[in-house]
Amino acid sequence: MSRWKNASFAGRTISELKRAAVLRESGRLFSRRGYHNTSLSDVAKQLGVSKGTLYNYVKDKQEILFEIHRMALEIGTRSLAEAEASNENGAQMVAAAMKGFILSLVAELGGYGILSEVGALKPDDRDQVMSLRSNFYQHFEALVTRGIHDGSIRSINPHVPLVAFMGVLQNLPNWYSPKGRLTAEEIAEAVVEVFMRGFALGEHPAPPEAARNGGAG
Amino acid sequence: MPRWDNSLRTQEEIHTLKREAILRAAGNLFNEKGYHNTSLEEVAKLLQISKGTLYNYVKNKQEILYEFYWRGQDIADRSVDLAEKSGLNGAGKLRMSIETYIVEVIENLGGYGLLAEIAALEPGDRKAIVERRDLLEQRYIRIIEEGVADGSIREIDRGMLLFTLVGAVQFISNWYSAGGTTSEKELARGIADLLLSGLAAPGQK
Repeated sequence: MSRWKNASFAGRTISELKRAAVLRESGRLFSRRGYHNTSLSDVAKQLGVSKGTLYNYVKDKQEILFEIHRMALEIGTRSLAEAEASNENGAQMVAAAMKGFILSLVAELGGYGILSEVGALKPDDRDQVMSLRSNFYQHFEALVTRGIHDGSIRSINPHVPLVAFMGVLQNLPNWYSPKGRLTAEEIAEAVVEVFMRGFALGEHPAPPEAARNGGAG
Repeated sequence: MPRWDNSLRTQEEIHTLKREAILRAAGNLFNEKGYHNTSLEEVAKLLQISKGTLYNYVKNKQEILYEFYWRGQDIADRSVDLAEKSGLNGAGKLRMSIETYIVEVIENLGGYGLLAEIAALEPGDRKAIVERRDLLEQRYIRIIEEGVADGSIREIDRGMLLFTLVGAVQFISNWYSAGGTTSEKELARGIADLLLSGLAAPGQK
């Protein structure tokens, strides 16, 4: 094995890192301009490489779109699994999952990546994305339901925080920037706090004790 | 001439009705397949008319998209008007405007008015929509300031608050499982209640 082939950073090969950079930059452009208004030439130009070089790492634009969807949903699924392993109450698990999702999305995809454009995916890819999404939905809603059962979340429809949170994630690129006023950590904490307070108070409040445990801040 | 006027009005009414049917059909297809993956040919096919006939009512696909955005903004403005006249405190106004907006958009525009396709608009149209959106944002901020002043909304970074609200509301149609067990009204009430409770000052509902 030549050293070139073994070249790695944090266990990832140079090729993997470059592919990740292509995906990140594409995600940024898709979020800003829309998938259909972004060409691979735009991506190459932003990265300062030729379009030919780009093709060493990705096959076409649809593959990029699929990969971004897949990575984002994987981050979400991982955040849920990590939160679930914590053995906290339901509200705290949901809080940890939300925070983990936002922070990993920023770290791994620059905060971009929650894209709604599924119509442009190839049919097989679309099926796969929809199935990943549906698993994520079920898992998220199951954690909320757990919180309702253990009393840390008031009685709400679990689909409600899910839809609200996905929208917040999709809006992230409009707010987060590495040079921006707020850090990813601050954004994540503030979002989680709104949801946690919302879980505790409202039309059908949780018992005060559980609300205190579940409420952030 | 009265008779001429009457018949003219009828012609206009027919034109409006047909145009509405086209918009509705297009909105349904956009929702189902995405804006970029829908052609006007498919819209015409769905209505069993020729593409030529369709062009009597709309110029192009972008015009339809713009119309949806414009109506979405109308609904948002009306929801804030209604809230401002309600006499409620700041939190109450914010809740009312969000709830009304979600329900009305889903009812009138099939959820499509919320779609994030702003990049696909023609530059002039996009500018017009962004300007209206900025004005709307200012109106929301005034309601929030009012809520903080009257003690119904807790002290929170205004930018963060808008970020959370706008995201949760604007992108609903992308994530809402249509055909699921949650009705539109339930979703609107639920999101307004969740977020407003999350923003409420301590001791307030």
